Amino acid sequence: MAKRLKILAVCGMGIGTSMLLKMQLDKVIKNLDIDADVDLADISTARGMAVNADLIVTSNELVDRIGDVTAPIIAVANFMDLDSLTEGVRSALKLD
Amino acid sequence: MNIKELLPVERIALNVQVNDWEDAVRTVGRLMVDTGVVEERYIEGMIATAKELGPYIVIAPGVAIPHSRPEDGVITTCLAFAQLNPPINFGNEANDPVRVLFALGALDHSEHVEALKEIAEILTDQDQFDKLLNAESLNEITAILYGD
Repeated sequence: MAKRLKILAVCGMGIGTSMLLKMQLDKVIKNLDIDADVDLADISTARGMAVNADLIVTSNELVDRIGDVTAPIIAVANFMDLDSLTEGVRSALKLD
Repeated sequence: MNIKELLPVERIALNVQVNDWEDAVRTVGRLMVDTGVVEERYIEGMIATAKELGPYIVIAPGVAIPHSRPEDGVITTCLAFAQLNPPINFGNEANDPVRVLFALGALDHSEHVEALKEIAEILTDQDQFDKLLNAESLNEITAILYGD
């Protein structure tokens, strides 16, 4: 059985925008039928939490602040655009 | 708690004219202060957050969700809404100009989740979203936000 993936949704506070991001990501992983958990992080804790993450998703305005991490990062401009987010996740996790 | 519980009509402003993005955040923050759900300093907290981290609070074309930390003066979990006319640039190239703001005051990681889900549903429904942008009365707005 494939291992359960860890996706990290990162925003400034870990309360508002990352929560919205998590909601959208939960829909995406359901649509793509991926076995994954989506955790929340704020920008100050993201780097530490990123060590164990398979994928990091954040705002395009925050992506430069995450710094060097090994996991792929998706920079989201429009949080409501599920099609682009789905495509981003599919591509970053090399699902095809 | 859902939108209706967190966002009473006293915290909804329509057709608001502002000078710049800070003014927009102050205006929507004022609705929160005046209804006793955040302390005065929460307004500056929201502005400082946007300055420090950039305009990432503009989460979709035309939509900003200003917010700050619980410890920056949130009294009870709350939302406030403002529809701007004319729209205002926040410096987010992909999503400017901003036409509506949902300001959030959160005490923890759970109380506002249901309302955020409802907001996301409205924003992803093009018909509902258009109505929200173009609503001219409080009744029209509450019909969309409260779903009644």
